[in-house]
Amino acid sequence: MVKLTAILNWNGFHNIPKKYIKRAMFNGVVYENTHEMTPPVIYNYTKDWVFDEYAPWTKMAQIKNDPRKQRSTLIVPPLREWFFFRGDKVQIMTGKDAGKQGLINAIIKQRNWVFVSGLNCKLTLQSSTGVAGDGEYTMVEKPLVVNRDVKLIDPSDLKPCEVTFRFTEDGEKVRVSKRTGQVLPIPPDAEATIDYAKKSTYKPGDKDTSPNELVKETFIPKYMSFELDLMQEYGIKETKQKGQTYVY
Amino acid sequence: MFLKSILSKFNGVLILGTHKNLLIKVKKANLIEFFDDKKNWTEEKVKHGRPWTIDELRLKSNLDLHKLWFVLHKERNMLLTMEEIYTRKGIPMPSHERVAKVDESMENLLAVVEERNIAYNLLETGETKKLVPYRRYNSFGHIQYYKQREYLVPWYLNRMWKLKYHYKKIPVIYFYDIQINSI
Repeated sequence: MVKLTAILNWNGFHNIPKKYIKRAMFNGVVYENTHEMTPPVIYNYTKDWVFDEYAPWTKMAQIKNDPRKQRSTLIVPPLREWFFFRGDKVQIMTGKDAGKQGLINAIIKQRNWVFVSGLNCKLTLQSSTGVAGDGEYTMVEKPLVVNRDVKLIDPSDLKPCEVTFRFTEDGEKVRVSKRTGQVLPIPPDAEATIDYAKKSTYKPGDKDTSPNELVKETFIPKYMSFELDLMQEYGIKETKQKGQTYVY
Repeated sequence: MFLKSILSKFNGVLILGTHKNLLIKVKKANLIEFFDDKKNWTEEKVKHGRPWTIDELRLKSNLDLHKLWFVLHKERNMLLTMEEIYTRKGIPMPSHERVAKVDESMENLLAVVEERNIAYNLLETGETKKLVPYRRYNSFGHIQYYKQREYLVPWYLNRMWKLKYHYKKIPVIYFYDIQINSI
């Protein structure tokens, strides 16, 4: 799939743990210039994070969420269900590219955004300073709001439709178009990440545990605490008796 | 000198203890193990996996968890030294999310150990024996975050503790702890 810009679905595309993202989105107060004659500087990082096409751990997102900057409050209407996946064919309903069809490039759920590859683009000047790529113009894809600007396509008649989730007789959850009842299968690109295109094709590295060893069950329940069990395994014998202690 | 002689005697392998089906061996430690593999020093991205989940760790025995802890601890030490070097040089660290991944699997491991100990304690005593931090009044009358600890003497004999936290122990409601009074 063609990607004009570096915008990616950072929600699922990068295999980055939640703790790391939370650390990047720092929420607290920072005191600077303390123990000086001049008064201390206080930065309040207590505002809600504004999610963007840039991932929170990148420099661009950190600049945009600077506490010294003034910004208006942002209200994102919550959705009941999410129907859009990477690799889906969609039609654009509004804007200059209205009526055109394309594939979904990236998703940002926090803003109800979707990027369509090669569509709804804008020419931007790369930079005006003396760095590499000076004076270059690039096409940048702009976000589209889900259900309003973009609609999924029914595969039977290739026209935009409204979608719901329904269950098959086997108990599988599938997307179905309301108009014709056609099933919209989830594309294989949806599970692709930066490390692998498909989950089954991933090759473990040097430090990864092999899948056979991962599933192996070695736990046998015993009437023992963790420490007592280890002492028995290593052959450590404790002769001293434990005295009374107080917890408070 | 003493360590060196021992290491040379066992040909690079130290045997710590023996058991009928178990042999604990420690390789000859080099300081280079604090650093990453030399191939990864100049790369932009290092290939690595994902953290251990709680469901996977529940399958493993206590001995396996004990071994895995030291593997993770060693990896974390290595990553932190590399992070320090990269910050000194002013170069961005390749795949800097690895530290958080190791942290996550270590947290999950501790959670599994706690689960097993709580199950044992509940059978033994009917209490979880879990030290849950709570908020209480200190001697100045302010509300303070307080962590419980194990002491050798009771609180009314502990003079320093009384100066710090007032002589009167207020009753505390445990929100997160399970307390079974009668079955």
